[in-house]
Amino acid sequence: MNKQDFVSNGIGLIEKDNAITDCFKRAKTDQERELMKKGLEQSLETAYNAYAKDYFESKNAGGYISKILRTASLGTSAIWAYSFFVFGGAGFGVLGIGALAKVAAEYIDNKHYEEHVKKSGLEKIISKDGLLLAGEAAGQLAASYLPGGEIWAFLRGTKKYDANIANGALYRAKEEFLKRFADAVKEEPKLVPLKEFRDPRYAADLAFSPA
Amino acid sequence: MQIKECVLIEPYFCKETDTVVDVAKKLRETTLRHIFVVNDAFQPTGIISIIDINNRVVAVGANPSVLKAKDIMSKPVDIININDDTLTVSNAMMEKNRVMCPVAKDGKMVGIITINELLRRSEAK
Repeated sequence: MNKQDFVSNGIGLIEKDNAITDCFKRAKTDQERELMKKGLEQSLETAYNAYAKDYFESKNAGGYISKILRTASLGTSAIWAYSFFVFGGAGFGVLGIGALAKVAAEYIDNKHYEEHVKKSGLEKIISKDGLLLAGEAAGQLAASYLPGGEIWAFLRGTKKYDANIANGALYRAKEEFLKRFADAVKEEPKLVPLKEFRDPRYAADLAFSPA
Repeated sequence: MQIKECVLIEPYFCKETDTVVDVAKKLRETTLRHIFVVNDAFQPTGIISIIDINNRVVAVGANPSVLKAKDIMSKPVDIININDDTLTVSNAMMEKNRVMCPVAKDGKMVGIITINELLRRSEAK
């Protein structure tokens, strides 16, 4: 998940939060509301940089290996299903290899997740720790024996870890936004938006066209 | 007359922990030449100008993706309280050649006051 996706998802989700909705309701003018929305975007950006950026940007080879292992696991299940019905009960060995691949993928993802949670300080607010998530993976392993279960497990894959990090960062963004705006809206001075001070000569789209 | 009666610029800032790349992106977005830096409690702690980025990062070949705002900011920064008197503030700003200063309420940054706004107010009186 990149910063843009996080901010746009965050704006959508976080505005449904009661405390934040209250804050927006207290804004007296559209301009104030616009400033608060910008403040919310700032909080989301800051939280992404502090709590999620490293996690999503440092997956590197581990992320690819995990994806390959998970895909391999899904493939072995398909082979097993085919062998089982065509050759009558054959293919359990292949299925075993698939299960091992999945365990290895889970280990890689879990290690990356745990390291990041500790480093970023998100452990205080994330209730589901890596161990529980890996436990969930063991549940998936059992569920994967059900019809269609393997596909469900594959789709869930690393998303459970990603979602936990994103939610942790979202929580921090909300906390920061409320710290700034919850009391401030009561008696605010008149504010003029920053865009009034933009110098078009230095606009980002002209940054590469020297005058 | 107090600062809270003036029109302030919306509080635009970066956090102490933002990387210099993020700070530069914010400056590009605003087209301004400097940006205030705040800590976790939103108290202004410094200011970064494009000169700071040039002199403390580019000119010394430092890595802007690793350096944080707190590493290159100029500090301390003059903080104006929202209840301060406009005349006292404008005199102090002129004396120190300040064009704009962060305004705080209960320590938190709530806006930016410019010398233009203060002069406009004193003319209107």
